[in-house]
Amino acid sequence: MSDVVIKVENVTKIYQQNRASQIVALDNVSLSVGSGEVFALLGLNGAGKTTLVKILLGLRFPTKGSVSVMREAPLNSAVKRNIGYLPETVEFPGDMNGKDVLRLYGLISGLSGKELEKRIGEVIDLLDLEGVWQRKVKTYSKGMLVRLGLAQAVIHNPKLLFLDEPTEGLDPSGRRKVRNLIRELAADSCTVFLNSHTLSEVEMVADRIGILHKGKLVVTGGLTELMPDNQQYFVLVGQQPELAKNYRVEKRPDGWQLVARDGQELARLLEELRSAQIVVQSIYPAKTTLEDVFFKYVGEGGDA
Amino acid sequence: MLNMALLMYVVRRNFTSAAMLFLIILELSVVGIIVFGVHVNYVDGVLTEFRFFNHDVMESGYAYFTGIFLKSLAVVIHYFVVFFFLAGFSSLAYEFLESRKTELLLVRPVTRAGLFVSTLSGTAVSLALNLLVFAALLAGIVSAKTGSMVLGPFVYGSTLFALELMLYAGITWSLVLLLESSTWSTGIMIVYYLLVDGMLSRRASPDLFGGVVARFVSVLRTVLPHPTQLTALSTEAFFDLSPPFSYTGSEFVRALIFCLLLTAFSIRGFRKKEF
Repeated sequence: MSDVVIKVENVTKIYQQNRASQIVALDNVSLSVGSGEVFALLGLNGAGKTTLVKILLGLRFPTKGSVSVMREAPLNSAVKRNIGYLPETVEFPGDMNGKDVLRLYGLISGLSGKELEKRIGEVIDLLDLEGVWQRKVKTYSKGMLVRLGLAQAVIHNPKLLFLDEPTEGLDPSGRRKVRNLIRELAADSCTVFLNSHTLSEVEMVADRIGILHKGKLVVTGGLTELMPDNQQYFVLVGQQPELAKNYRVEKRPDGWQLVARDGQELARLLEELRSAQIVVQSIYPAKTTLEDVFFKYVGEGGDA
Repeated sequence: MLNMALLMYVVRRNFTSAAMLFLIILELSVVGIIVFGVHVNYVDGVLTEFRFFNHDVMESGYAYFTGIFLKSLAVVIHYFVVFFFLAGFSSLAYEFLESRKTELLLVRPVTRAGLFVSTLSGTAVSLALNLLVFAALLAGIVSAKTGSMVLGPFVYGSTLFALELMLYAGITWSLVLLLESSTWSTGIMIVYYLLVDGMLSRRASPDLFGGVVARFVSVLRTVLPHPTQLTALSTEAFFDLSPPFSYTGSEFVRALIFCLLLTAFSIRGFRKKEF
């Protein structure tokens, strides 16, 4: 791995509700993220994703364990100067217009004068805020707020960007823009730490993923590593097959679908179908998706 | 916008400038308390001299109704000022430090203490300016209605009251924040305020319990209007814009210590607060 930008070591976070009960939001989590990587943290609601991000940002403090961001503690001002953050629910002072919001966050981030005005123009252009920046923020739609949130997160050219559900509320065009933005930032050596439920989006942009489940990090790895090229095959037949129980059979509107886990199994299945005089309607390959990987570790009902 | 401008300036610089600004605000408030305490009857004295609300003048119908109108207005304004501004100050500052907006500020290169103090200061300055404009407007109305020379004293009194209000508002807000963030330090401050200060209060009963009650009542009276203002439209009610307790030397010192400690504990609480 390239230079380690984020290091999480044995972090446990417990929320004490009262004397009798507590919630273990994170349970002995360790991970690291390298420079220029797009790392996506996946998990069901309440898995602990946002808690981990907030610990990395210094907004919450671990009960046990330690974190370092750019080799420093998260509260270090020099570190903060290089961090951008888009929270899951973004809120700005409602009576300011979009440009004033960007000016405020740009100023607090250390930009000023012509440089600040230049960057404001660039991010307005980048995130399609051209027609709306003069309006008060309280009149913005959810999608506009997310775009403004992204704009404030990148206005100071951060080296590390935390994005919590960045495509939530965006239309397909907005989603594509965000994906492109993430890839462009990564190409410029910006590390992106992504929290998302939208697995298809993650699959398109992430280099590595981690899956959090009930506060535990159940797996981390590269997408190519977790989604190997060994392909499954779907075989569609018109009548209900009475074959060996070794195959997964699913009822579909246009027939029954059998699943062969690799080429050898496909050959065997076809042989059996021929023997049983069952007509094959179609055969098509199906690559393992991130959703398959996710549910493999989390379980269909989140009960793994 | 003024809050924002101040916040941008102060937070972006450093904690020292934020702290200095806060101390200036605190100092102005303190001066206001002293001056207002000493000259609490000044406004009333001037008006008596001008026989503005004297019964002789008010016997004529027009003057009577004008007087009633102005006094009613004064009661409404008093409620407005005490409740709206005090509550407004606290909620404005607290709302700004509400988690979703604060987390976006805290991930920037600012210190938590700097953010806390500058928000408090920025809000205080903004409110004081608002109140000064309000006082000038009110003085203009009173002056136009009566033709009397009350502009100066009215603005004077209102200005001092605005400064004093800032201090009380700061205390209220600090308490709100303390209750949110740090239980034990809240406990210490309440014990200090109710027991120690109450026991030492010159107006308090000599026994501990009486002292505590006296102080508690005194605190309540700070944020509540005079009961008399509900019914009696008297000259005293009109011009008694001062909070019901005025400070004397030792009380003032204790109040100042209390404010400083409270601020320090609030900052401490804010530094540990999770968002």
